[in-house]
Amino acid sequence: MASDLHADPILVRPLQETTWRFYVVCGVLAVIVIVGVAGYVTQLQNGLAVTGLNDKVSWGLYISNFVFFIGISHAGTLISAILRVSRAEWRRPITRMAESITVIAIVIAAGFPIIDMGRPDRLIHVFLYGRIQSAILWDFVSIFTYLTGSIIYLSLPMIPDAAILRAKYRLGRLREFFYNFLARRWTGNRLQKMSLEKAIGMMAVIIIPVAVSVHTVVSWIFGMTLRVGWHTAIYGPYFVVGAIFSGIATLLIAMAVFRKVYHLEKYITLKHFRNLGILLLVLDIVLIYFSLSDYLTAAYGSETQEVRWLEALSTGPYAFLFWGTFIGGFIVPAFLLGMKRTRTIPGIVISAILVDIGMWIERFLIVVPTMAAPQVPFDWGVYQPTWVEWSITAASFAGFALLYAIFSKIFPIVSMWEVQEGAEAPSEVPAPAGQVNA
Amino acid sequence: MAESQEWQVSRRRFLRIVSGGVAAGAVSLLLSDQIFEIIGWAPTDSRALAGQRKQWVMVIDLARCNGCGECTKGCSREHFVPQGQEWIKVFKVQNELGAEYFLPRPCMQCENPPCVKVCPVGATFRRDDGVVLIDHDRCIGCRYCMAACPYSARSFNWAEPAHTAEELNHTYSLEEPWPHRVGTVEKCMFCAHLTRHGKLPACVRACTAEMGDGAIFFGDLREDAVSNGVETIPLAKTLRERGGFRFKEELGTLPRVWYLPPRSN
Amino acid sequence: MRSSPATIALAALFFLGVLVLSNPMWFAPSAQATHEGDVMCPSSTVTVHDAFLQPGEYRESFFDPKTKVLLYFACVQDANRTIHVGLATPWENWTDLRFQATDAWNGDFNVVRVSMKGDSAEALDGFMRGAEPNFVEDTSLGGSHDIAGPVGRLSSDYYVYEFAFPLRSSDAYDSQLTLNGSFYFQLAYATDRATFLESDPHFIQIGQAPSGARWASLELSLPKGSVALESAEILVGLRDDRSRPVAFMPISVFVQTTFGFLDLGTVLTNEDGLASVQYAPRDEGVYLVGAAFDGERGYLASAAWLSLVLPPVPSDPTLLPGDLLVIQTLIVLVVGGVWSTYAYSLFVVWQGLRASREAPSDRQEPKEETT
Repeated sequence: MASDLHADPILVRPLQETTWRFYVVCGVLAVIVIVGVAGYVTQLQNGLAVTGLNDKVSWGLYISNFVFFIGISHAGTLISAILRVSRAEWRRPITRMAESITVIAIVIAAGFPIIDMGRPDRLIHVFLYGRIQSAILWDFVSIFTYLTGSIIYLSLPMIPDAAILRAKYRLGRLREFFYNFLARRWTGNRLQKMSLEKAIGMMAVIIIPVAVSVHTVVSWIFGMTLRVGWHTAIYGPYFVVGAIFSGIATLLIAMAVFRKVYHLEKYITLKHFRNLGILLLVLDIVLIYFSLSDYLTAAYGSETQEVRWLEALSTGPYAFLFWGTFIGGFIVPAFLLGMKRTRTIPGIVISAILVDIGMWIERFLIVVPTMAAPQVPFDWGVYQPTWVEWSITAASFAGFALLYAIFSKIFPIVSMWEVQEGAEAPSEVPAPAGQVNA
Repeated sequence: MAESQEWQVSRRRFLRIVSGGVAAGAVSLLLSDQIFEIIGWAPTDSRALAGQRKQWVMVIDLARCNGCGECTKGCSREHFVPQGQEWIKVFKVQNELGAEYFLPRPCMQCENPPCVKVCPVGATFRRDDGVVLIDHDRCIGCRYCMAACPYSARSFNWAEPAHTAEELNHTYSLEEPWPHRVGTVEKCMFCAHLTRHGKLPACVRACTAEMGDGAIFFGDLREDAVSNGVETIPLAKTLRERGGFRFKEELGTLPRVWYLPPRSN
Repeated sequence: MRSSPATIALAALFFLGVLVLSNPMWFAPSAQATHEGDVMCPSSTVTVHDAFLQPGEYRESFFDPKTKVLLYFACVQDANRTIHVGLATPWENWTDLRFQATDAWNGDFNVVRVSMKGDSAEALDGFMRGAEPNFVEDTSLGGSHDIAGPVGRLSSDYYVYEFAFPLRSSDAYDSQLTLNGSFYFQLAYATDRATFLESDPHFIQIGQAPSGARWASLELSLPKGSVALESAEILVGLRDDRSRPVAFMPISVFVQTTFGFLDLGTVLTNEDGLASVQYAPRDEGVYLVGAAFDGERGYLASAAWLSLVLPPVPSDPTLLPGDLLVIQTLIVLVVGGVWSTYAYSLFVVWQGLRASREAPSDRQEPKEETT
């Protein structure tokens, strides 16, 4: 009967101890970020001419990165919200990992349209003169709504953990600041517990349609134009499924990393990998189905422009990337996840890595080949990204990892109270450590 | 118990406030026109007023176009068009039986423009005389309009354009958008600054200067007449008799540029 | 006759010489002028300067297709050998009659530049060298204002001027033609302050009898009933000085558009002297239609103008399209609903936090220190 909840020492240790390895990794990531910042400064000084973009292919790496990061932000929603709503108990150790991926990914993603803008000094115009008829405005509204909802949805379950940490540990001014902010009034009594569960439950329900809307709206930025390859009705579902797909893969990678580095084998077990791996497999099959549907429809109809686009993808300049993604990012992971022999933690993690790489290339293949395909007689475009674009891309991944690592040092990456709540009977109320045993 | 009752009361109040607010927002949106009228605010974009009742239209006779590119040069000279941009671009079209012709492609100044639809800040807009203009004070350089244009008619100032002294001396206006600015979008605008004074666009004049009887005609749809500077021809009759067509008609953009088929009489 | 090369060459030279000598135009440095009529100079005139162009006042006429100006000529063998000119022009700003009465035209022009100033006509007498836009008034060149009795009036859709000038002038720059010869002329009108649009050069022969001088008057009208969009029919009528119809004559009809005149067609008048053309403008506004008869078979040229007025069609005020409003409302409802849920969740948690009874600073267990 553990009615007084004590902090789990394994989960708290990363907050107390930081090895030199952490600093080295963060240092490397910080350097990559700085190089990316230098690249952006170059771009601010000389204009977008420092990129490989041109009048034909006017969107490139920045926009495909944007789509990619919004995509992986769907990790949090699926795991946390859907599994919470469907009362899947195994979600408990990984909810916070997933929710934090969402918040960090959205923040990074939101930077890319600004980096891509020709006149970032005029960002305020979007607020002053925003036109509701434009898909970019829908995007802005839905991403902002999703970000706010995700921050709330991340913060609420952190309150009891913050209370525990605040009461039992002295962990430095920065962490104290966060814990105080979240849990100053938290006593863990029945009323508070009920209200928190209720609020989290409501957020879980509302955040699901918001998340679906976000990537649907992002897909509509492309889908609502008249360009070959983009103007297809399947883009909404395709983007959403692709997002959840890449989100789960990212979560799997994060799980593997944290499990190793913070010794969380007790909490994150083979079962978690297997369950997420099966979800990944299901989404993989759905995505293969959508892709086949899209490409076969275009190929069978043989409209001139669509045939040109398909040829560019299948046998033309993008063939290597296209088949690489399809086979390496979709087919191989399906086998790895589907065969029981390879459905081990290493096997699943390798699939996840393949999926994430494949999906990143897939986002590139969504944006660039369509823009390169000629709209007026035979005027093919060429796109060769420059060091500025690559460095900013690298910086975004490094920044993501860096923020994630820092986050894991401020809050326990596994939600302590949720895990303990799941271990006990659900009716037990965890009390803060300050109370005398009732 | 009393506590939860008090709680329920304040929750009810909260719900009432919030739902009231949302409903008020929706209703005021529905009644926005009437509200605007009452408070005397006209939401019409004043930039979209042309000041004269015209509906500009262009007709390009592909049977006459010989691909010389003088239209592009004339346009570039007139507008100090930045290096690398061609606001009217001449394409060579070849079909599989070997027939070839040239297709000059200005901005189509569509009546249902996809570019205007997607601009997030309303920097590009359609004027009431049919010309689609760009407000370079407002453009944020997101290039969504470039992705949306089915005719690839727009260009972007990727770097700070090279300026001549003459260009820098000029004051920017919507109809005469130079000096050109980095990070904004550019395109043909039917030489609105010339047509306002009854002068033909630069491409029309350059073509006629080169060929004597130019291939590009320009005029007012309302008058049913287009001119290349040498001859004035009836619009509807010519399109009917010569089988005039528009580029990518099936997209529903309703371009204001008509083409006469590339066969000589 | 023996045809030796020498004989042929001689004959050719002779032939060439005749050609050259007989046609003063060969000496002219400018474009070829076209012969547009002839005029004799009797000793008396019936031309009255009242800005009304009446039958019998003039002996020759010409309609210029480029500038759309109609000219009438009469000549009097008086002390100054006066030329009387009647001019019907649609142009509001200056209209120029540039001429040089001479046997060999060198491209210079004497200019009569007319315009309305209020209710009366203003006529400038000047000189232009060649094709340069260098109009200078005769008074600045040491000459005098030679134009006699210039009058003008606005006649519904066009301007009518009448004036006269001498062929025996005391001005050094004015052209002199004491004997018979050619009267070269060119018409022009001001498109704006500085630019003039010019016609081709023409000439009439002074001292030669014209082929006929029967008066013809052209009239444009609309059929009974107002002009609707898309179906404007325009009637043309040609009559002589006794209002009898002039049949089977070609009339060219045109309309002024932004960038030039649109030719609406050349029609033949029927037995009643009538013909019609179709013109279908697509919007409200004023459209200036003109008709011209070139003067055939003994009739003088004539022209007419008519302003087609299309009334405004009442249109709906531009509102936001209905479906857009529905979308906006839906967005507000949906987004508002989501944000309300956020607010409510936070509210619920806040309520719970507010209801805590424990003082937040109570800590009864020692804390673990961080390493």
